[in-house]
Parts: sequence; structure tokens; C-alpha cells
Amino acid sequence: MTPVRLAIVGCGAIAELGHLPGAALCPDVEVTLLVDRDARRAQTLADRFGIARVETDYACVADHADAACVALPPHLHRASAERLLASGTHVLMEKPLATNLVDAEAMVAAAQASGRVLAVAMMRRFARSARYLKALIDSGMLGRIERYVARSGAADAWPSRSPFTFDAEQAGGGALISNGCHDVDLLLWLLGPIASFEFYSDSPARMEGNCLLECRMASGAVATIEVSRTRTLANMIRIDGERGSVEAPLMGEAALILPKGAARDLLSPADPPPLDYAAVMAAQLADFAAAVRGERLPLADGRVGRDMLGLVEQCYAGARPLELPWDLPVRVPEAL
Amino acid sequence: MNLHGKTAFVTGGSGFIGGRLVEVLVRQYGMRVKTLVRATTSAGGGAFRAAAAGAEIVFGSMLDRATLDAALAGCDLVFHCAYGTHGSVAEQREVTVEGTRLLARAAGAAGIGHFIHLGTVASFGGNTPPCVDESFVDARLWNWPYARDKLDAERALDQEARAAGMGFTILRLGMVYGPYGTSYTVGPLHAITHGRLALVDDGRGVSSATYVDDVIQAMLLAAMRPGEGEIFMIRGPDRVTWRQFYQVYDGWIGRDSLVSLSKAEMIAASRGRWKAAARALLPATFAALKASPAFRRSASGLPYVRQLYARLGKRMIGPVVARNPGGPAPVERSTQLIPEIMIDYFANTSEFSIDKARSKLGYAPQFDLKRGMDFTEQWARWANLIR
Repeated sequence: MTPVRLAIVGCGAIAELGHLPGAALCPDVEVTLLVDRDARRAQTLADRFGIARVETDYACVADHADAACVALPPHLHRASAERLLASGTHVLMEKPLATNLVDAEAMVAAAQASGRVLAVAMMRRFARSARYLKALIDSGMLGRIERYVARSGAADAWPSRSPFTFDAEQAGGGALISNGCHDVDLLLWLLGPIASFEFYSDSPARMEGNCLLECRMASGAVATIEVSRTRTLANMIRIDGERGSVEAPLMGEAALILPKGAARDLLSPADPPPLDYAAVMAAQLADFAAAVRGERLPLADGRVGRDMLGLVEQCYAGARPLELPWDLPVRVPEAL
Repeated sequence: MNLHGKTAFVTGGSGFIGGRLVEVLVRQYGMRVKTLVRATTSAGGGAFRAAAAGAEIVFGSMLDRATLDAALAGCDLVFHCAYGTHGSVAEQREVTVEGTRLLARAAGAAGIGHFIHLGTVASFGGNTPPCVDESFVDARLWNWPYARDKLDAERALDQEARAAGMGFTILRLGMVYGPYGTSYTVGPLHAITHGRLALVDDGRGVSSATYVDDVIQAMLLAAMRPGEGEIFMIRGPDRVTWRQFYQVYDGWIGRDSLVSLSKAEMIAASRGRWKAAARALLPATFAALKASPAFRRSASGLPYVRQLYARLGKRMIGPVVARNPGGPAPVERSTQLIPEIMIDYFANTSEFSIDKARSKLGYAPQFDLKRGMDFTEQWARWANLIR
């Protein structure tokens, strides 16, 4: 089968660490073009990954590729998607789909009008642990799901090449939209729609470093998602059902099933194998390529990204302050 | 100076003390705050904390005048919390001393009203009297680069600020702990959850423990009055030994992790670990050199190199073995030692007086060890450092 000719638009950290290594493992795509406004950066990556062509403007993508993976800062997503789709290019858009719901709706409409694929990079769905959780829950083995807890946080630096994550206009918000969208997406994918929720944030400026989403799902399950950019959390999901529980990394290679009543220490603690990140990115590209070939819809299409933005906007609109008991005002004695 | 509505440039705003200061300045005083972060590629949790508080992040180097000029534009105040933490000793010194000099010069040129600088009581040296006040000067500086560089940074500020007629205040801090604290909260917690922590002289040294919010109080008080070029010592309200301090962390996780070593034992253990580390590196170093064609080409031109290689290269270096079977029991590898250059700091029983800060600044520390550690514990659980 001829691989889908793919352009990568935006040569920042995720292109270097995610999409290009993933593409190298994925026979369904062939990267024919790298685009970045910084030609030297694009050429550096092109040399490293053996890509034949670099450009500084995505206007020419349709001349060299059938599809584009767009990894530009979020405030550039709508304009780039509309232009690429109009030129007949299928689009895999990095998360979040856009910085706001209006833009996301316009992008979904543009995809419909063009008849091209618009997918959003909800790459955690392609991790083996997540696919396994999905199969486990859908099989009914755990019984009715009662509780879902995900704690997601890393204080380490992500080697971002531009400062957009520090600008609410460019990023659309903070921890929730930038990182938490993956955690919320897994919750919705695994447990279905949310009936009601409360959202707590540590930033009135939509630049939250920490946030907490407490949900009641339409299924009746209760869910908690904690997201942090200032703390390194457990980075695990625990799901309790009426017949047992399962624990898995947010993105990993294994999961631990605990039948009701089985103590956690019953099994010897074995370290799970390390995540094969490139394989996850390759699986995402393979899914996108299948959609481009018209075999099926992508696992997360533009509507998934749009609905996420609808939820994110509701979260921000109704945000309550995160309770941090040690964070009291600093009292200054009457200055002399 | 009334702080409400003012604009401040905070260096080190992605760090421990600067990060807390940013939160307080923005939330309590409605100030506009700009803070400097080295690079987008290294901007981790601290930078996100500052952004969450509402700071404007300026990316760039402490050593770049243009970056500093742009950041200082429109500012009324400077809070200088940054110092060199990355790279070699010389690179750290460059940031700490020359970075302060450059910032003070730029701040003077930008018409900054008050430059508040964070120093350290470590700069008093290792031979302090039982009670130290701000007038104490020890001509013999010790070898701890951090303490020496911080003192030289103060001198650079003094010189530049006086030349420019800029108000400034220096706060010499005791050991600061609390939420997001690296050296004295996250670091020791990591050490005792993964091994043990060594104390010198049974931890009888006095720690000058200061909860971070007391430091912020002092910074606010300093900022509210004119900068008269004075130095104030700042620490918590109570006398806390290092053993008392670290025992609190032990208590949180139900451990007895503290190991007591004499100065001589600490030095011996510390040097032994260096030697072992160096010895462990040698085989890999030889292998790497051997594999390098450039090295082989240059080395083969030297006389006797073949004989030397035959003797050393083949024998390599054997595993580390105890050289002194009659000596003290070896310290476990997982025990965190005090580096040799810092031993005197941890052994020091001097008390650093805060009388001047109390009388002239109106400083009134609010957090004794119990209260400060109670808040720190709540944070540490939230931060997933303890369970």
C-alpha cells in the first residue's frame, strides 16, 4: 500500500520528540515535508530524520503532501486548519483543537465542507494501557463503574521551543487545556458523558498550574481528575467497579487488575515495562492514515476536540478557587 | 513605598522564594510583576507557578543587558532572588556576582526606586561568635562558593547602587524552608524517603530555620520603606537545631533516618565517596579514550605511552574495597552526606540576631517551627512527596 504523504507543520518539541520518531516507525505514512518559520530548525530535523524537503510556509503543503500533522501553537490552529483543508489536505491537529469553542466549531465545519479528515491528537488513546482499559470497561468485567480517579502532573520542563504555554491567548488556558485535555479525554472515552461537574483552579488568569475536576458521570460514576504543571503526581488512573478495580499509568504498557477483595500486595511488585512513546505516536499516525484512506473515522476526530473545548470553556467560566490551606495571605505588621 | 498598583521585576520568580513572592505581590497588592526565566526549553514547574500567579514571564539570561533593560522598563521595584544554580562553579559565580552587578547597573539606569536583594547568613563565614549581628565581618572567607559568591554579589550591588544613587536593601536570610523549597524541604524529604541523612556533631548546629512566608514579610516590609543600603538579618522566631529540624521530616514518614557523624567522619566519608565515584568512572574513561581514534593518534606520538597503556590500561581499576578494616563502619551509599565545604555551616552553633530587623523594619516572624512545618507538611502531601 502506498503510504500517505505527510507534512509536519511546526517543528517544535512535539514534532521532534513525538511525530517524527512515530512516523519513522509507521509504514502507513511517509513524511515528505517539514514546515517551520525557522528554516534552520526545520533543516536540522530534516537532516536528522531523513526528510527530503523543508519550507517556511504551509501554503505549499498540498503540492507535496496528502495530509498534514499540525503542531503549531494553538492560537494558529484555526487559520492553518482552514487553509490546509481548503487546499484538499487532511489534517491531524495537535491538541487542543483550538483555543476556544467558536474556532473549533469553524474548524469542524471547514472539515465537513472540504470532505477531508480533521483528527485531533488525543494520543493517549493509542497507548496500550488505555486501549486495554477501554476493552476491560466495555467488556463489563469490572461491573458497574463507581469511581474514577486520575492524577496527572509533572514539574519537569517540557522542552518547548516557543513560550506559547505561558500566554493564555496563545494556549487557550493553562494546565487544563494544555495537559488536562488528555486526562479529560480518556475519562470521556472510557466512561461516557459528564452529567455535572465542579472545576477548581489556582489561577484567576486562566493560567492554572493546578486544577481539579470533580464530575458526576451520566452513568452515575463519580470521577476526579487532578492536573498539575507544578507537581509531579502519581500519573496513574484508578477505576473502581462493583466487581473490582484497575490501576494503570496515564500512558503505559500495562495495567493492574484487582478483583474485589484482593489486596494490592498479593502480587509481587513488578516494575511495568517502560512506555514505548514512539510506538504510541506511530499508532496515532496509522489511525490517521486509515482515516485519510477512507477506511474509517479517526479515533478522535474534530468533533471530539470541539466538544472538549466546550467543556473547557464551561470549566473556566465556572472556576472556583482551589483550596490550598497553606496558602494564606502574608500579614505585614504595622510598618514602623 | 505603597506597593498597591506598582510594578516589580522579580528575578528568580520561578524559584522557591521568588515564586512565593510573586503570588503575594500579585494577589495581595495587585502589583504587575515581571519575572525572568532562562529559557522556554528549561521552564518547568516553577515558571508555571509564577504564570499561574499572574506574572509576566520574560525569557532570557541574567547576563544579557538587553533582556534586563526590557524587563526593567516601567518597573518601580526590583526583588533580586536569583543566583547561579546551573553549570560549573565559575558559571554559577558569573550569574550570582556579575549578574547582580549587571542587574544593579541596569536598574540604576532604569530609575528603579528600591532594589531588594536576598543574601545569606552563610556569607558571614564559618567562624562566627555565639551571637552574630549585622556588623560582624570575618576577613577570612570560607571556601563554600555559594556563600562567597553571595557576599561578592552584595558588594557588587552596593557599589553599583551607590554610584547610581539607587535605594537598596539587603536581607541576609537564614535557612529557608516551606512549600516548593528545594534545598531544605524537597531535598531532605527525598533523602530520607530513599535513604538516610547525615548530621554533623549530632545536629547540634543551629539552623536559623525560617518559614518562607516570614521571608516574604521581611521583603514586603523592606519594600515599603526607603532603601538606605542597609543589611538586615532574617530568620524565624525560635532557636532550631538541625536535628530538631530534620526530625520533623522523619516524623512525617515514621522513620528514624538521621545518622550522626563527627566532622572528621563526615569529611572521610565524603572524600571516600568522591574517590569511589572517580574510581568507578576510570574504566569507562579508559574505554572511551581507547575507542577514540583522535586520542590514539595524539597519544601514540607521546614517548612511553605504549608502556604506560600496557601497565594501566590492561590492569584497569579494581572494585572498591575497604582500605581500613579497623576504622568506623562505612556510611551506607544511600546516606546523604554534607559536602565538605558546607560542614562548618551545619556545625555552626551561632545565633543570628534579628534585633535590627525587628526594631528598624518592624519584622515580626509569625512561624515558629511547629507552625511552619504544619503548613509545609500539608503542602508536601499535596505535592505527592509523602503519602
